[in-house]
Amino acid sequence: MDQVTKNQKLRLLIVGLPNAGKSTLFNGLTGGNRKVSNYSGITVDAAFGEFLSNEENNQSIEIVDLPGIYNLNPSSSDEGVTVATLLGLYPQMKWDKIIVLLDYQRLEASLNLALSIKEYINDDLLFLINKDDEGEIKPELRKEMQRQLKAHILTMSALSTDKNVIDHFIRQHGPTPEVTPLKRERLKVTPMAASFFPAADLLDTKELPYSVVEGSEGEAQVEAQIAKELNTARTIINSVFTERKLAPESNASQKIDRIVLHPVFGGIIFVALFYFIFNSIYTWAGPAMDFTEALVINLGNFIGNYLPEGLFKSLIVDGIFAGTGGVVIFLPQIMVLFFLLSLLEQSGYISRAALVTDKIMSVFGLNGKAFLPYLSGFACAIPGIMAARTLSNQRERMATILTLPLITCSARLPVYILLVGTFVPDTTVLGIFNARALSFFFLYFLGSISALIIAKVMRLSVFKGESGNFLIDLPPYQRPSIRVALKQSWFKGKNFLKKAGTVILALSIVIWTLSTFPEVNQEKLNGLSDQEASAVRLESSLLGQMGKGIEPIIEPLGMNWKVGVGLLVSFGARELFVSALGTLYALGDEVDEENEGLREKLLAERDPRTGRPLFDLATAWSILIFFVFSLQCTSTLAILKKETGGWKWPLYTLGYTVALGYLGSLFAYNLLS
Amino acid sequence: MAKLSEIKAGHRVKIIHFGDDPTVRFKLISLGILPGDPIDVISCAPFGGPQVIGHGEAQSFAIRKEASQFVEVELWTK
Ligand SMILES: Nc1nc2c(ncn2[C@@H]2O[C@H](COP(=O)(O)OP(=O)(O)OP(=O)(O)O)[C@@H](O)[C@H]2O)c(=O)[nH]1
Ligand SMILES: [Mg+2]
Repeated sequence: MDQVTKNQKLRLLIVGLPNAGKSTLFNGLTGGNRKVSNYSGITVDAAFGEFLSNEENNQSIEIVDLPGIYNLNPSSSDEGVTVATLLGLYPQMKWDKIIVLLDYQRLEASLNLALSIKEYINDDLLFLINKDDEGEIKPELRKEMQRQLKAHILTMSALSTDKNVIDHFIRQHGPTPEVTPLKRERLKVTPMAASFFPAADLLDTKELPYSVVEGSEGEAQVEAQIAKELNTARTIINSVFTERKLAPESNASQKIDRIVLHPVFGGIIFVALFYFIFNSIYTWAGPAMDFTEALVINLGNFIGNYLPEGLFKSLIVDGIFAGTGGVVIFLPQIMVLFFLLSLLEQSGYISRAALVTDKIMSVFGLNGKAFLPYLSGFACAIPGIMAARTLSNQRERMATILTLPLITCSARLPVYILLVGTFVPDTTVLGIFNARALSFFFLYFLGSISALIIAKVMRLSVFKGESGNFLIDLPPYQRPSIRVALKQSWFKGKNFLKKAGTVILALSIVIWTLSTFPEVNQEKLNGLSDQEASAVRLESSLLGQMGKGIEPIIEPLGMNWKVGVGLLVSFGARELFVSALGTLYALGDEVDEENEGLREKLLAERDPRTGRPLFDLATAWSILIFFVFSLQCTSTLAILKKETGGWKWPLYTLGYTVALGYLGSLFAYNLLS
Repeated sequence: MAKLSEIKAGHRVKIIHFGDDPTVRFKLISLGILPGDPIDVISCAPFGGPQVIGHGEAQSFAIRKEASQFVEVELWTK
């Protein structure tokens, strides 16, 4: 019988300038979910994806999305990945063909890059000209270009062209009957560029496919090598597009930039924009959060009513609903944050913001390009730390990634909202500002300014040295798509729920178990009121004993042992603080027939000795300040280890952030109480 | 001849020489700019921050004054 055998898988690389639309194309062809943004340098690592159409075809195609490059001399480690892949420096990363994605809005620069890939890497290329949204490149122009470049060309728009057309084009011209050998002439790179390649001992080739040229002589050779193709590119473009006019956006963008980057208005717009975003997290998402909270509580009560009294009911109501449910209610905030950030990223404003902040950044020994890593840090430190790969200067990069954990990530959001929303009055201060929104803004500000100050300290000590230069692309502004923003926000919301439903849920159950067992001998409870009894039970549980154990350390911070337990478990993941308090307060509060939310319980708790509220503004701020500084996240430690190549720097970062957190919260408590 | 860093927003100049920093030179060429080309100074960022430069293609870029002081230019006349 005939056996249908699939051909060997074909591996294609997508290469092009940063911001050309490579990841957009990748997502379209593979159904992937790579981050796309109107900013040069969003992609910092390689990703592999199977064509969606592999199901219906004999030939399987895999494509690789790579970081964008400007030329074959990388100037940062993300660009190093792409050039090293092209040069075949990774033994595991063999490829079959290169797709060059040209950007119609930057045709000369794109073609310059394409021609040097042709010259130094492989001359069997497939050309896609992207961002031709209006179909301005007429078929006869395309044919003329094909003739001059001796390669197949598709003109397209990764946003609107039918994916099947692109897929079909690649299938038709992708497979190559025979392998074309590498070009003879070897690529020249500067020692600096070579430092972004993988270490030579990883290579299986005896002879390197590039030669390192040193000194100013070498620099001149590299410059000539880069410039050589630009004249050719211009000649081709001028002969093909005899009446080429600039993309209309360009002038519109420059007009907008005259205002947005104005020496005075620029700064005001920047501050206003970010204040607006943080304010909206509070004001827009607030009602939605109240609604989800009511939903979770009522559902918990509803189910609780059908369960017989006992351990099982307690596990469901106090462990799962009060623990995990307490975290889930922050879903609206997470979604609003990512929705707004996505709009901002798509618009093209991020690189302008990098520019506006560059001067301030340079005062702190950093680079404006660190703005995007820091901004990503507001969502989560991990993508932020990875995004710092685009920084060329290694010392600036280290100072950036080791201070990124100070940026207020979204895992702190539940803690902030819980405490600010419960203890800061909802009043108007200074005429126009809402006290809660202002507190919120202050917390974010405190984290950010501390990151900058610590970075400066590092740049004056451990990472002392010259600063890198700053040359950043400003892509044309684009109208942000609401659909894309909703998708992004939905995607992040889903991940948040997934985390709540797995890690947080599992740990909530662990927390419940540790705070329920060992059970107390019934005799001890004789003669106590219900409320006293549940307090005794809780305190003699394993977690209760732990909390009591660390009480002396945290007492100066105005925290009781329950908060101490919350802090302890929050080193696993910050959200666990909220779930631990949820469970502890639900368990210690058995008299209350109706099960209210954690917020009311915190407000209602009294010190049994004095009868005064246990939790007040001072305690709340003390906890908040601790959370501003401390690195309480195991995944961040892991990524720091990966990016710095050892445990030294992650531990250093953990140490200084926790020390700052403790001292800061000591200060805040004493100031306010 | 003047330094690019001294040119005020709104002026068009011709590039004479890129300066000595190799990474700046490589990057400018890779953006599609060669000596002799016209460029526009679109804006200067707040607090003496980077200059915003437009050139033949749709995408502008920004450069720190520390770097642009080494780029030699002259006023565009044509
Ligand atoms: N107008 C237009 N915009 C596009 C097109 N394709 C992509 N874009 C936009 O271009 C921007 C960059 O897209 P990405 O896919 O992130 O670009 P990239 O090449 O992966 O960029 P890096 O990862 O930074 O190298 C995004 O704002 C996209 O929405 C297109 O065909 N037309
Ligand atoms: Mg990308």
